[in-house]
Amino acid sequence: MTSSAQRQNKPRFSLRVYFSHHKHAWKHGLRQLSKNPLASILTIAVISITLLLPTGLLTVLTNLQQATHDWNKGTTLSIYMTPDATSAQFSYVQQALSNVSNVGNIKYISPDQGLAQFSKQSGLTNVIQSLDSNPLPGVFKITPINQATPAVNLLRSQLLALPNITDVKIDMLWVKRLNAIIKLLQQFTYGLAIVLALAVLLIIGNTIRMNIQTYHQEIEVMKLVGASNRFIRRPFLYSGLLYGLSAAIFCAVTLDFFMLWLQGPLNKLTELYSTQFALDGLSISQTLLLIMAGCLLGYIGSWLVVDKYLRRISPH
Amino acid sequence: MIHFEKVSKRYPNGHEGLKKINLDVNAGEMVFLTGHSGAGKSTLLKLIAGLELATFGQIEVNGQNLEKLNARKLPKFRRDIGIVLQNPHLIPDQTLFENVALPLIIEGYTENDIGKRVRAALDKVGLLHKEHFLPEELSTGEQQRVGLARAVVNKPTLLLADEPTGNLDPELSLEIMRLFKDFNLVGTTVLIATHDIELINEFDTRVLHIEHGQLSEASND
Repeated sequence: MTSSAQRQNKPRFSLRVYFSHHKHAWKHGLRQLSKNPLASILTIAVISITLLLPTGLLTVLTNLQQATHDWNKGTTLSIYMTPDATSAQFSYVQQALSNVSNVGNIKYISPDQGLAQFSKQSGLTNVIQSLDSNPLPGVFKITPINQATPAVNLLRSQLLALPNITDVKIDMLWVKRLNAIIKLLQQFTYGLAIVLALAVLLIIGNTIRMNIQTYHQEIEVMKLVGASNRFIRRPFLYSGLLYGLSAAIFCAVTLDFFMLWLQGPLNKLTELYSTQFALDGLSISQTLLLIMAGCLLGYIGSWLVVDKYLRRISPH
Repeated sequence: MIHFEKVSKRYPNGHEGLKKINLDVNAGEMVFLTGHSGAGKSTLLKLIAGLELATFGQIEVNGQNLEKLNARKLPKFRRDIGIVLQNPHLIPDQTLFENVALPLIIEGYTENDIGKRVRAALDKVGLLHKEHFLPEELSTGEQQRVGLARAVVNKPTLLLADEPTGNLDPELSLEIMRLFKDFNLVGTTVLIATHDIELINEFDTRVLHIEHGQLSEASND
């Protein structure tokens, strides 16, 4: 009776064995989550909120960017004439403007029109009436055909070369500033996402560490009957992955509901501005990315602690 | 099957568990190991199972030199050894079936094979009708029998037992020992550590006595 004779009856390592081991691992990974449902739900909720913070911020910023992108289309240039320009000089500029290639709509606001508009908008009629003379210059408002930033900038420098012009202002400058602020906030959010991803790793690592303690006895038995470290480790890796996966799904669903919830008040707001704007939740690819990130963080978080703590357990 | 050459085991606290022990157990033998608590019985079994390492000397088990056994090869080595401890070490939230199936799942048997082998093992220890019970629903004696079923379910070449009847009354103890004898009769090498001399006298097998870390052959009649 030799050991090799007995070995022959035992299954050799094969794809089937591989799958049966993984099936066992998934089953036991799930069992770890379902053993104490309340604790698992709380853990998933904490991870989910941690994921929700950067994801939500990014979604809101993307929407803001989308909104201001539409506003960008209304970029106009204001061309300020010198205050003492003669009517001949005006007509010369007007003529010249219509010959510049990127100039679409041209509108002239005379100093009188400008003053009337200003007094109407500001309500400072009395102050304005007390002025000796009209301090406003004549202004041409033009809409560029090509709204892209480089084209608009090129147009501005072309217009500045015209005679009797004091300044050319791009009126949507504040949109650009807002965009710059959004970019800054996005950068900040990416940084925040990295910090919070580390937090998720810690949360999952700690949960798995506690699970290992809970299953101390079972791990001892497995070591006793000859389970490899990989076999013992796998259910813990999978339960980590499941924590991450559930949290990511929960986060995506919450975010979508949140956006739906905001859409109502937003509609009221846009009605007042007589425009329309639909809030976008996560796209399918973003959702998939979030879920993948959740799974990966769960797996890595578990992987970081599992070996260290499993090694401490030995049967006696 | 088991070969010890001048094996010593010294613990970090200075306690000397075993002193220059020589031992040979042949394949198919059944051997009792007796001695007081703390005499070194458990240490000897742990060295055989690779649960602890010897301080000095050579150990060969199942054709494997244990000194050359690294942590990666250890699990595979242990799959050929059935181990029964005084506390049966059952997994509390798994049924008897699942508990006994564990070694087979690790080995990668098909579900069909697992079902057959687990039921055969449970039948052998008389607990087939309780396969869906949880360990806590069983008596101590029954739990020990489940531990035994798990130890033999993958037909190990060597069966080690450390005080397997330590928590049982004489009648149940005899029943358990008879089961060990049955496994020995089908070819398994069996080594049982016990301090129950009366029980040993019921069997006509080789007895080793260990005292103060030293081993001697004892007569059994």
